Amino acid sequence: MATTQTHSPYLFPRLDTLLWLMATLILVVLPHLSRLSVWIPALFFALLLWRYQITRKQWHLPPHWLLLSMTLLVVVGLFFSYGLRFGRDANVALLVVLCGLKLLEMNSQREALLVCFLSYFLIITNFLYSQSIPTALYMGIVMVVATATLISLSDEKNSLSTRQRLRLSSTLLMQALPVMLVLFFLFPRVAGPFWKLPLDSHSGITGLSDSMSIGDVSQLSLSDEVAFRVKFDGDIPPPEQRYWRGPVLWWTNGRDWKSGFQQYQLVDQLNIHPTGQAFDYAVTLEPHNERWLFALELPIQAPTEASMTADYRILASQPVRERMRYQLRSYSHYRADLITNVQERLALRLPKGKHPGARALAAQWRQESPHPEAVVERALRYFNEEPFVYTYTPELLLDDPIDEFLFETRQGFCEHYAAAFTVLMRAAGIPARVVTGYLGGNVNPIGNYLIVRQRDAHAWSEVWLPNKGWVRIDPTNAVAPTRVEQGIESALPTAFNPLDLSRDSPLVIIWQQLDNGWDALNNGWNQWILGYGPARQRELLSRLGMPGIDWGGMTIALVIIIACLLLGYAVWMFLGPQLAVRDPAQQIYLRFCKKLARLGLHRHPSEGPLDFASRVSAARPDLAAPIQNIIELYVQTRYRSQFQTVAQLRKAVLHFRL
Amino acid sequence: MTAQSNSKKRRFFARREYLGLLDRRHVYILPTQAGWGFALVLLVMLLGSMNYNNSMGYALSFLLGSMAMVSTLHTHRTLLGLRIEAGKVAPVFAGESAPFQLWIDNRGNVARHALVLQRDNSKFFIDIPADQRVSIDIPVPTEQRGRVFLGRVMVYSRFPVGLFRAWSYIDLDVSTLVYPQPLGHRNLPLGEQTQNTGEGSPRDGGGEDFIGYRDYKLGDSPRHIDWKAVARGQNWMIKQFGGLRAAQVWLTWDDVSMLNNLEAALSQLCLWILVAESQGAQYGLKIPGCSLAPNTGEQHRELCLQALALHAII
Repeated sequence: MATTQTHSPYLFPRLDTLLWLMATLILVVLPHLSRLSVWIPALFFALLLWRYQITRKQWHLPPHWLLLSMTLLVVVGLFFSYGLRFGRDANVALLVVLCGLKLLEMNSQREALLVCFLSYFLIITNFLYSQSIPTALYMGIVMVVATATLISLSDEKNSLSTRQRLRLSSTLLMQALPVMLVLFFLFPRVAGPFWKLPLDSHSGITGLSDSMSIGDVSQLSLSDEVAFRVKFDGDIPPPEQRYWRGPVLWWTNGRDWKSGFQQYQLVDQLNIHPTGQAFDYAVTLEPHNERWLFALELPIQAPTEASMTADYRILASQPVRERMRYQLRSYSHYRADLITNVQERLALRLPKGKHPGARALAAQWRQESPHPEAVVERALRYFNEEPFVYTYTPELLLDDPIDEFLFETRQGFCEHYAAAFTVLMRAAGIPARVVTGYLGGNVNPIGNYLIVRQRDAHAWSEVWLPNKGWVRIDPTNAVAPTRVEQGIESALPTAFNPLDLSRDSPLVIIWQQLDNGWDALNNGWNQWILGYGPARQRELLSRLGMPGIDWGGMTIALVIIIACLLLGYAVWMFLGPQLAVRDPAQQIYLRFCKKLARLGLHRHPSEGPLDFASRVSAARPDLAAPIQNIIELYVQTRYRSQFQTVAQLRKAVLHFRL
Repeated sequence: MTAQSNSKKRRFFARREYLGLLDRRHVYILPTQAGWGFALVLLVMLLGSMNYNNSMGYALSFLLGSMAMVSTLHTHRTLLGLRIEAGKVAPVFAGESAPFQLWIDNRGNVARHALVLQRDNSKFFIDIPADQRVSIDIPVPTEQRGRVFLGRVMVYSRFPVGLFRAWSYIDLDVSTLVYPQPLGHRNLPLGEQTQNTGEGSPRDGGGEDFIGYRDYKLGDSPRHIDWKAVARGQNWMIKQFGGLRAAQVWLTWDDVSMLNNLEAALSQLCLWILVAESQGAQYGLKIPGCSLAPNTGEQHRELCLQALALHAII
């Protein structure tokens, strides 16, 4: 059993440890695969295979000059693939390849540990791309494997089975989990960043843009991605009032619409006079890499971390690159009066020589009734009475998108209607602008909040009427009122419904509930785990009865709690087994004596096992053979230190039947 | 680590006497080099997480840190509660290594993995299953005759994750004898019997030296029957003769006095004892301070060798 063998001069590590290491690396790199240039995974797996063959076939490790030149080649390759701006993606790619190259150099415990640590690093790089619940769960599994790799490295005599390693690694991590939670919530949080993030840190984040182009192939996003979630303090506004204001578009060339220079203009006096019901709510905005924030029409004041522009847009000081939570108050009805001279000029401007049809039509309406409100009515009636179709796959519009849409194709979605309506209004001399944002949102009954998704994106118009100020007009409402009242799903053809299920079928309802549950879970995750920062921490601590605790206090609390936890583990781990410490053979022997006592064969306290055995055998000759066997095993185990026979003894006593 | 700081550390940690049980006060724990490296990696990860405001980054760094903290308990437990006792150790000749047997008793219900016993610079790896007692031999190299002590043995483990190392020192007061190395070129001093050649090696057959017994076979000469044994009621045995004569040999200091070196003299005596014993001769030893009457047998040989081993050793 006991051997005194030291390491033979074989290549470190053993094959099984190497396989553990490789499994960890592969699991860690797997989520990166789709994000890396094609040649990197190929190279990575080739390097892994090479190392595997080296250990299996006992080849030599490649010489250093070869590894060095390969590293240089890789760096050059990375510059070709990712350009000179060495950002996040390139760094991850470099790390992946370095791990592969390091494997080819690895020949000691130290280097193997380094690879382990590198793989932990790679786990963290995955979180730069996704921090969702599935990613976190997957990384949890990867952690178990990575820690099992560490165990395999420490298991010098290779005496643990794969299952034992995984079990020990899970035990370690499960015991670490409560400590980790304490650290997570109580470790003093600071607001980053401390240094400049790589340029591509936030690439791939999209949302609503602040421009639109009429007539291009569908700009309408049908993505199910969440734009933001809203938690209302009181009532949730009815669907037809859920207009979430985003960028306001002033400038047009007849096809494209943009914000123009108005976008950053701030004024002191906003001239908003609320009249309707007030709604207090907190928006948790998914990062969209732009500065504007969305608000229910119409907020009276920007949240503390943002400001409000002259066209009632809320702008954050920085592009929103992380999930952001802000508190707002909006009113369902209001009078918004602010219009500057510049704004009025911009709100009437049309590209020269364009849209002759629209201009003629507007002039005609203006002649019929000079009152602006009547013109607005007339225009909405026009959309309602003429055969306009709401579709998200309209025909292409080529030369003059507005005229073609108004008089020929008459197919389009919100952008077409908003743009055409705004052009008509401007042509009729009424100041008008396009407002983009979202309309609608689904209530999640589980978390009682509203989810607004990218597909809820919408565009509408605002016209300036004397004595009324800016008034929201949604021409889409005149064409497809269900879009406004019931959300985007009702307005779209049911293309995503292969089973042709009705909206009320039980399957759909169950699916809906599951979907709601999942989103509520995600929302909690976002709010309490991913969005946990200095502000949330203060909130939590004051809820725990420690308001205004500073970081010194937090650190002390942290240390005390962790010390208690570890002490608890220590008591559980050390005291438990020690109480049970007894000679196993004796324990089994006592069990055997108890069995015999039930037969009335009591052992005298001073009676040794051999004497007892001969007395009992004489009393019960029928049991003599098994008794002798057990006593012999006991004597061997206890007095000759032959621990190999413990199991035999245990079995013999277990099977000893009276 | 320099030798000086090492010895300082030893003195610091060796204040308490070891009583055969590795209890909490005798097991020490500190991070390994890899553990410090790991701490550095964690720090970088934590800074990165702060910079990116990455909650999962925080979570991962904290999980790893917590795992390291919890691992200290596991590492500590690998040693805790072990009982280490000295087992048998046979005397050896100088130059051989003395295999000190240690019994490690794990009475707990948890297996102890990757234990390392280190004496000087040699390491011995051992695993001890739950509830078992296992022995391990620690060879201690010897150079000089006399006593050899096991001395201090360090027992440590980095199990399970290699970030911390728990260790303890075992000071078991066990020793064994180291006989002189059997060396020499001189023949066994047989007085008039000088026909021996070489290094006192036995000659095959023909001689008149008693070399042992064998069972009686028909046709054996009655002169060679061991009548004394027969008289004692034992089997009929035939005394075999060969090599040296079954004569009394006195191995005295004078026989080796021409070797000016004390150790060389003792080595020569040692070799002669081994030869005499293997030839079955009756040999006595007479060195200053010690005189053993001629006799034969294992016990006699041990006595003689012990006398040589401890001769003139303070």
